[in-house]
Amino acid sequence: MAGRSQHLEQIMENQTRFDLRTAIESWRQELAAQPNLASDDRRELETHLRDAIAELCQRGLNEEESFWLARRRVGQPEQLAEEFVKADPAAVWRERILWITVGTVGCYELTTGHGVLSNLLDPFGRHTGAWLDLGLFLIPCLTLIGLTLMIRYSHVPRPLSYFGRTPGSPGFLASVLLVVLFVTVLFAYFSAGKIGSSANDMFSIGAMIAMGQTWLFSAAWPAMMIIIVFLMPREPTRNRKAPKHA
Amino acid sequence: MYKTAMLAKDLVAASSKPLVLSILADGESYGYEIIQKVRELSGGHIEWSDGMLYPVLHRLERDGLIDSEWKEADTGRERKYYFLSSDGRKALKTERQQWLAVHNTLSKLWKIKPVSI
Repeated sequence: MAGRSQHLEQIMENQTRFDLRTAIESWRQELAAQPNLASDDRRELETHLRDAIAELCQRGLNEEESFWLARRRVGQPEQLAEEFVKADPAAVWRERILWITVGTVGCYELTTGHGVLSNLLDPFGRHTGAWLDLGLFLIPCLTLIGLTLMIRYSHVPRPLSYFGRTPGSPGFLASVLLVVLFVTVLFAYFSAGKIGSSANDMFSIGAMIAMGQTWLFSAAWPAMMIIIVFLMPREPTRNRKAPKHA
Repeated sequence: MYKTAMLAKDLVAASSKPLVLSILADGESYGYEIIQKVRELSGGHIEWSDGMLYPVLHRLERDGLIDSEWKEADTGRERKYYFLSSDGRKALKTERQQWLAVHNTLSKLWKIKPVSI
Protein backbone atom coordinates (compact mmCIF):
# COMPACT_ATOMS: atom_id res chain seq x y z
CA MET A 1 0.00 0.00 0.00
CA ALA A 2 2.74 2.37 1.03
CA GLY A 3 4.71 1.47 -2.07
CA ARG A 4 1.73 2.24 -4.25
CA SER A 5 1.13 5.71 -2.83
CA GLN A 6 4.80 6.48 -3.24
CA HIS A 7 4.52 5.40 -6.85
CA LEU A 8 1.50 7.67 -7.33
CA GLU A 9 3.33 10.58 -5.79
CA GLN A 10 6.17 10.05 -8.17
CA ILE A 11 3.80 10.09 -11.13
CA MET A 12 2.20 13.30 -9.93
CA GLU A 13 5.56 14.91 -9.43
CA ASN A 14 6.57 13.97 -12.93
CA GLN A 15 3.39 15.42 -14.35
CA THR A 16 3.77 18.76 -12.64
CA ARG A 17 7.48 19.07 -13.19
CA PHE A 18 8.24 22.46 -14.64
CA ASP A 19 9.65 22.62 -18.12
CA LEU A 20 11.15 25.96 -19.00
CA ARG A 21 10.95 25.40 -22.72
CA THR A 22 7.24 24.59 -22.63
CA ALA A 23 6.60 27.53 -20.34
CA ILE A 24 8.37 29.96 -22.68
CA GLU A 25 6.59 28.42 -25.64
CA SER A 26 3.15 28.96 -24.08
CA TRP A 27 4.10 32.51 -23.11
CA ARG A 28 5.19 33.10 -26.67
CA GLN A 29 1.80 31.89 -27.88
CA GLU A 30 0.08 34.28 -25.53
CA LEU A 31 2.06 37.11 -27.09
CA ALA A 32 1.30 35.85 -30.58
CA ALA A 33 -2.41 36.06 -29.75
CA GLN A 34 -2.04 39.84 -29.53
CA PRO A 35 -2.76 41.18 -33.00
CA ASN A 36 -0.97 44.44 -32.27
CA LEU A 37 2.43 42.93 -31.61
CA ALA A 38 4.66 42.56 -34.65
CA SER A 39 6.85 39.46 -34.76
CA ASP A 40 9.94 41.59 -34.28
CA ASP A 41 8.49 43.02 -31.07
CA ARG A 42 7.68 39.54 -29.83
CA ARG A 43 11.18 38.36 -30.57
CA GLU A 44 12.63 41.29 -28.70
CA LEU A 45 10.41 40.67 -25.68
CA GLU A 46 11.42 37.02 -25.70
CA THR A 47 15.13 37.84 -25.58
CA HIS A 48 14.31 40.11 -22.67
CA LEU A 49 12.42 37.37 -20.85
CA ARG A 50 15.28 34.94 -21.39
CA ASP A 51 17.82 37.46 -20.10
CA ALA A 52 15.69 38.06 -17.02
CA ILE A 53 15.30 34.32 -16.37
CA ALA A 54 19.03 33.74 -16.76
CA GLU A 55 19.82 36.49 -14.28
CA LEU A 56 17.29 35.30 -11.71
CA CYS A 57 18.60 31.74 -12.03
CA GLN A 58 22.08 33.05 -11.37
CA ARG A 59 20.83 34.69 -8.21
CA GLY A 60 19.77 31.29 -6.93
CA LEU A 61 16.11 31.01 -7.90
CA ASN A 62 15.00 27.81 -9.60
CA GLU A 63 13.78 27.77 -13.17
CA GLU A 64 10.09 27.90 -12.30
CA GLU A 65 10.42 30.81 -9.89
CA SER A 66 12.65 32.66 -12.32
CA PHE A 67 10.19 32.20 -15.14
CA TRP A 68 7.18 33.46 -13.22
CA LEU A 69 9.01 36.43 -11.78
CA ALA A 70 10.52 37.38 -15.16
CA ARG A 71 7.15 37.01 -16.81
CA ARG A 72 5.56 39.31 -14.27
CA ARG A 73 8.28 41.87 -14.72
CA VAL A 74 7.91 41.93 -18.49
CA GLY A 75 4.20 42.65 -18.09
CA GLN A 76 0.78 41.54 -19.25
CA PRO A 77 0.61 40.76 -22.99
CA GLU A 78 -2.51 42.94 -23.48
CA GLN A 79 -0.90 45.92 -21.78
CA LEU A 80 2.31 45.44 -23.73
CA ALA A 81 0.43 45.34 -27.01
CA GLU A 82 -1.36 48.58 -26.15
CA GLU A 83 1.87 50.39 -25.39
CA PHE A 84 3.66 49.01 -28.43
CA VAL A 85 0.94 50.07 -30.79
CA LYS A 86 1.00 53.59 -29.34
CA ALA A 87 4.72 53.86 -30.05
CA ASP A 88 4.51 52.76 -33.67
CA PRO A 89 0.93 52.38 -34.95
CA ALA A 90 2.01 51.41 -38.47
CA ALA A 91 4.46 48.66 -37.45
CA VAL A 92 1.96 45.82 -37.51
CA TRP A 93 0.56 46.82 -40.87
CA ARG A 94 3.99 47.24 -42.35
CA GLU A 95 4.73 43.67 -41.46
CA ARG A 96 1.37 42.40 -42.68
CA ILE A 97 1.77 44.09 -46.05
CA LEU A 98 5.27 42.67 -46.37
CA TRP A 99 3.89 39.18 -45.79
CA ILE A 100 1.07 39.74 -48.28
CA THR A 101 3.73 40.81 -50.75
CA VAL A 102 5.74 37.66 -50.09
CA GLY A 103 2.60 35.67 -50.80
CA THR A 104 1.84 37.48 -54.04
CA VAL A 105 5.38 37.28 -55.41
CA GLY A 106 5.47 33.63 -54.33
CA CYS A 107 2.24 32.91 -56.22
CA TYR A 108 3.65 34.58 -59.31
CA GLU A 109 6.75 32.41 -59.09
CA LEU A 110 4.70 29.26 -58.63
CA THR A 111 2.42 29.95 -61.58
CA THR A 112 5.17 30.98 -63.99
CA GLY A 113 7.96 28.63 -62.86
CA HIS A 114 6.63 25.60 -64.68
CA GLY A 115 6.27 27.36 -68.02
CA VAL A 116 9.71 28.97 -67.80
CA LEU A 117 11.38 25.66 -67.09
CA SER A 118 9.59 23.74 -69.82
CA ASN A 119 10.40 26.45 -72.39
CA LEU A 120 14.03 26.48 -71.36
CA LEU A 121 14.40 22.69 -71.38
CA ASP A 122 12.48 22.20 -74.62
CA PRO A 123 14.68 19.85 -76.73
CA PHE A 124 13.43 21.44 -79.96
CA GLY A 125 14.55 24.91 -78.84
CA ARG A 126 11.73 26.70 -80.58
CA HIS A 127 11.19 29.24 -77.83
CA THR A 128 13.43 32.20 -78.49
CA GLY A 129 12.04 34.15 -75.55
CA ALA A 130 13.04 31.47 -73.05
CA TRP A 131 16.01 33.38 -71.64
CA LEU A 132 13.97 36.53 -71.23
CA ASP A 133 11.33 34.51 -69.43
CA LEU A 134 14.02 33.11 -67.18
CA GLY A 135 15.10 36.64 -66.34
CA LEU A 136 11.53 37.63 -65.64
CA PHE A 137 11.37 34.63 -63.34
CA LEU A 138 14.68 35.13 -61.54
CA ILE A 139 14.29 38.81 -60.63
CA PRO A 140 11.15 38.30 -58.54
CA CYS A 141 12.72 35.14 -57.18
CA LEU A 142 15.60 37.20 -55.78
CA THR A 143 13.08 39.72 -54.51
CA LEU A 144 11.30 36.96 -52.67
CA ILE A 145 14.49 35.83 -50.96
CA GLY A 146 15.48 39.39 -50.10
CA LEU A 147 12.04 40.14 -48.72
CA THR A 148 11.97 37.10 -46.51
CA LEU A 149 15.42 37.96 -45.18
CA MET A 150 14.24 41.49 -44.56
CA ILE A 151 11.29 40.36 -42.47
CA ARG A 152 13.49 37.89 -40.64
CA TYR A 153 16.13 40.43 -39.67
CA SER A 154 13.77 43.44 -39.56
CA HIS A 155 16.27 45.43 -41.59
CA VAL A 156 17.41 45.68 -45.17
CA PRO A 157 19.72 42.68 -45.68
CA ARG A 158 23.40 43.55 -46.03
CA PRO A 159 23.89 43.14 -49.81
CA LEU A 160 20.78 45.20 -50.53
CA SER A 161 21.64 47.90 -48.03
CA TYR A 162 25.09 48.11 -49.63
CA PHE A 163 23.46 48.98 -52.96
CA GLY A 164 21.19 51.41 -51.24
CA ARG A 165 23.97 53.19 -49.40
CA THR A 166 26.67 53.65 -51.99
CA PRO A 167 25.00 56.46 -53.92
CA GLY A 168 23.49 57.91 -50.78
CA SER A 169 20.05 56.70 -49.88
CA PRO A 170 17.37 54.04 -50.25
CA GLY A 171 15.75 56.58 -52.57
CA PHE A 172 18.41 55.76 -55.15
CA LEU A 173 17.72 52.04 -54.81
CA ALA A 174 14.03 52.77 -55.24
CA SER A 175 14.55 54.71 -58.46
CA VAL A 176 16.91 52.08 -59.94
CA LEU A 177 14.34 49.42 -59.13
CA LEU A 178 11.60 51.50 -60.73
CA VAL A 179 13.55 51.75 -63.98
CA VAL A 180 14.30 48.01 -63.98
CA LEU A 181 10.64 47.28 -63.33
CA PHE A 182 9.43 49.57 -66.05
CA VAL A 183 11.70 47.89 -68.60
CA THR A 184 10.73 44.39 -67.50
CA VAL A 185 7.03 45.15 -67.60
CA LEU A 186 7.40 46.51 -71.13
CA PHE A 187 9.29 43.40 -72.17
CA ALA A 188 6.72 41.17 -70.55
CA TYR A 189 3.94 43.04 -72.28
CA PHE A 190 5.48 42.76 -75.73
CA SER A 191 6.46 39.11 -75.35
CA ALA A 192 2.90 38.35 -74.26
CA GLY A 193 1.65 40.21 -77.35
CA LYS A 194 3.86 38.10 -79.59
CA ILE A 195 2.53 34.87 -78.14
CA GLY A 196 -1.00 36.09 -78.77
CA SER A 197 -0.44 37.05 -82.40
CA SER A 198 1.28 33.80 -83.34
CA ALA A 199 -1.55 31.72 -81.92
CA ASN A 200 -4.24 30.40 -84.23
CA ASP A 201 -7.16 31.36 -82.09
CA MET A 202 -6.00 34.95 -81.79
CA PHE A 203 -9.45 36.44 -81.60
CA SER A 204 -11.01 33.97 -79.25
CA ILE A 205 -12.07 35.25 -75.85
CA GLY A 206 -9.89 32.61 -74.22
CA ALA A 207 -6.75 33.96 -75.85
CA MET A 208 -7.63 37.50 -74.82
CA ILE A 209 -8.19 36.48 -71.24
CA ALA A 210 -4.89 34.58 -71.30
CA MET A 211 -3.09 37.66 -72.61
CA GLY A 212 -4.65 39.85 -69.98
CA GLN A 213 -3.63 37.38 -67.32
CA THR A 214 -0.05 37.24 -68.51
CA TRP A 215 0.13 40.99 -68.45
CA LEU A 216 -1.43 41.23 -65.01
CA PHE A 217 0.97 38.69 -63.62
CA SER A 218 3.95 40.49 -65.09
CA ALA A 219 2.72 43.76 -63.68
CA ALA A 220 1.83 42.38 -60.27
CA TRP A 221 5.28 41.72 -58.92
CA PRO A 222 6.83 45.02 -60.03
CA ALA A 223 3.99 46.79 -58.28
CA MET A 224 4.77 44.70 -55.24
CA MET A 225 8.44 45.62 -55.40
CA ILE A 226 7.59 49.28 -55.43
CA ILE A 227 5.50 48.75 -52.32
CA ILE A 228 8.42 46.94 -50.71
CA VAL A 229 10.81 49.76 -51.41
CA PHE A 230 8.51 52.23 -49.76
CA LEU A 231 7.93 49.97 -46.79
CA MET A 232 11.60 49.22 -46.32
CA PRO A 233 12.63 49.64 -42.70
CA ARG A 234 15.09 52.42 -42.23
CA GLU A 235 18.65 51.23 -42.61
CA PRO A 236 21.09 51.59 -39.77
CA THR A 237 23.52 54.49 -40.02
CA ARG A 238 26.96 53.58 -41.18
CA ASN A 239 29.24 54.89 -38.45
CA ARG A 240 28.00 52.77 -35.63
CA LYS A 241 30.76 53.54 -33.18
CA ALA A 242 29.43 56.23 -30.90
CA PRO A 243 32.01 58.63 -29.44
CA LYS A 244 32.71 58.24 -25.76
CA HIS A 245 31.08 61.54 -24.87
CA ALA A 246 27.90 63.17 -26.06
CA MET B 1 10.50 49.06 0.54
CA TYR B 2 12.16 52.28 -0.62
CA LYS B 3 13.14 54.95 1.85
CA THR B 4 12.87 57.73 -0.72
CA ALA B 5 9.75 57.94 -2.84
CA MET B 6 9.88 56.54 -6.35
CA LEU B 7 9.83 58.91 -9.28
CA ALA B 8 6.35 60.13 -10.26
CA LYS B 9 4.91 58.56 -13.39
CA ASP B 10 5.06 61.66 -15.58
CA LEU B 11 8.61 62.35 -14.47
CA VAL B 12 9.59 58.79 -15.40
CA ALA B 13 8.09 59.29 -18.84
CA ALA B 14 9.78 62.64 -19.38
CA SER B 15 13.21 61.48 -18.24
CA SER B 16 13.22 58.29 -20.29
CA LYS B 17 14.40 60.05 -23.44
CA PRO B 18 17.53 61.74 -22.03
CA LEU B 19 18.33 58.61 -20.02
CA VAL B 20 18.18 56.27 -23.00
CA LEU B 21 20.08 58.67 -25.24
CA SER B 22 22.79 59.19 -22.62
CA ILE B 23 23.23 55.47 -22.05
CA LEU B 24 23.49 54.84 -25.78
CA ALA B 25 26.00 57.68 -26.12
CA ASP B 26 28.40 55.42 -24.22
CA GLY B 27 27.97 52.69 -26.81
CA GLU B 28 25.36 50.33 -28.15
CA SER B 29 23.12 48.45 -25.77
CA TYR B 30 19.96 46.34 -25.60
CA GLY B 31 16.73 46.71 -23.65
CA TYR B 32 17.55 44.51 -20.71
CA GLU B 33 20.93 46.10 -20.17
CA ILE B 34 19.49 49.62 -20.39
CA ILE B 35 16.93 48.88 -17.68
CA GLN B 36 19.59 47.35 -15.44
CA LYS B 37 21.84 50.35 -15.92
CA VAL B 38 19.08 52.83 -15.06
CA ARG B 39 18.14 50.86 -11.97
CA GLU B 40 21.75 50.71 -10.89
CA LEU B 41 22.63 54.36 -11.56
CA SER B 42 19.49 55.72 -9.90
CA GLY B 43 20.06 53.62 -6.82
CA GLY B 44 16.63 52.07 -7.29
CA HIS B 45 14.75 55.38 -7.46
CA ILE B 46 13.96 54.98 -11.13
CA GLU B 47 12.34 51.63 -11.70
CA TRP B 48 11.11 51.09 -15.24
CA SER B 49 8.69 48.28 -15.79
CA ASP B 50 10.52 46.02 -18.19
CA GLY B 51 8.06 45.88 -21.05
CA MET B 52 7.48 49.62 -21.13
CA LEU B 53 11.00 50.51 -22.23
CA TYR B 54 10.53 48.99 -25.66
CA PRO B 55 7.79 51.36 -26.82
CA VAL B 56 10.10 54.20 -25.75
CA LEU B 57 12.96 52.72 -27.76
CA HIS B 58 10.72 52.19 -30.78
CA ARG B 59 9.45 55.76 -30.60
CA LEU B 60 13.01 57.09 -30.50
CA GLU B 61 13.89 54.84 -33.42
CA ARG B 62 10.93 56.09 -35.42
CA ASP B 63 12.03 59.66 -34.73
CA GLY B 64 15.43 58.75 -36.14
CA LEU B 65 17.31 59.39 -32.90
CA ILE B 66 18.46 55.81 -32.49
CA ASP B 67 18.92 52.83 -34.81
CA SER B 68 18.71 49.14 -34.13
CA GLU B 69 20.16 45.90 -35.36
CA TRP B 70 19.78 42.26 -34.41
CA LYS B 71 23.14 40.87 -33.43
CA GLU B 72 24.46 37.76 -31.84
CA ALA B 73 25.87 38.32 -28.37
CA ASP B 74 28.98 36.55 -27.05
CA THR B 75 26.71 34.03 -25.37
CA GLY B 76 25.38 33.00 -28.78
CA ARG B 77 21.97 34.51 -28.06
CA GLU B 78 20.54 37.07 -30.45
CA ARG B 79 19.61 40.49 -29.15
CA LYS B 80 18.32 43.67 -30.66
CA TYR B 81 21.01 46.30 -30.11
CA TYR B 82 20.28 49.99 -30.21
CA PHE B 83 22.76 52.72 -31.01
CA LEU B 84 22.71 56.49 -31.24
CA SER B 85 22.31 58.16 -34.65
CA SER B 86 23.82 61.53 -35.49
CA ASP B 87 20.41 63.13 -35.00
CA GLY B 88 20.23 61.42 -31.63
CA ARG B 89 23.53 62.95 -30.61
CA LYS B 90 22.18 66.40 -31.46
CA ALA B 91 18.95 65.68 -29.58
CA LEU B 92 20.94 64.60 -26.55
CA LYS B 93 22.80 67.89 -26.54
CA THR B 94 19.52 69.83 -26.47
CA GLU B 95 18.06 67.54 -23.81
CA ARG B 96 21.16 68.03 -21.69
CA GLN B 97 20.91 71.80 -21.85
CA GLN B 98 17.22 71.76 -20.96
CA TRP B 99 17.53 69.37 -18.06
CA LEU B 100 20.50 71.23 -16.65
CA ALA B 101 18.55 74.51 -16.95
CA VAL B 102 15.79 72.99 -14.79
CA HIS B 103 18.38 71.53 -12.46
CA ASN B 104 20.17 74.88 -12.04
CA THR B 105 16.98 76.78 -11.38
CA LEU B 106 16.00 74.32 -8.69
CA SER B 107 19.54 74.31 -7.33
CA LYS B 108 19.48 78.06 -6.84
CA LEU B 109 16.14 77.85 -5.08
CA TRP B 110 17.35 75.03 -2.87
CA LYS B 111 20.76 76.67 -2.35
CA ILE B 112 22.70 73.81 -3.93
CA LYS B 113 25.76 74.49 -6.06
CA PRO B 114 24.71 74.76 -9.74
CA VAL B 115 26.58 73.02 -12.56
CA SER B 116 27.87 74.59 -15.75
CA ILE B 117 25.72 73.83 -18.81
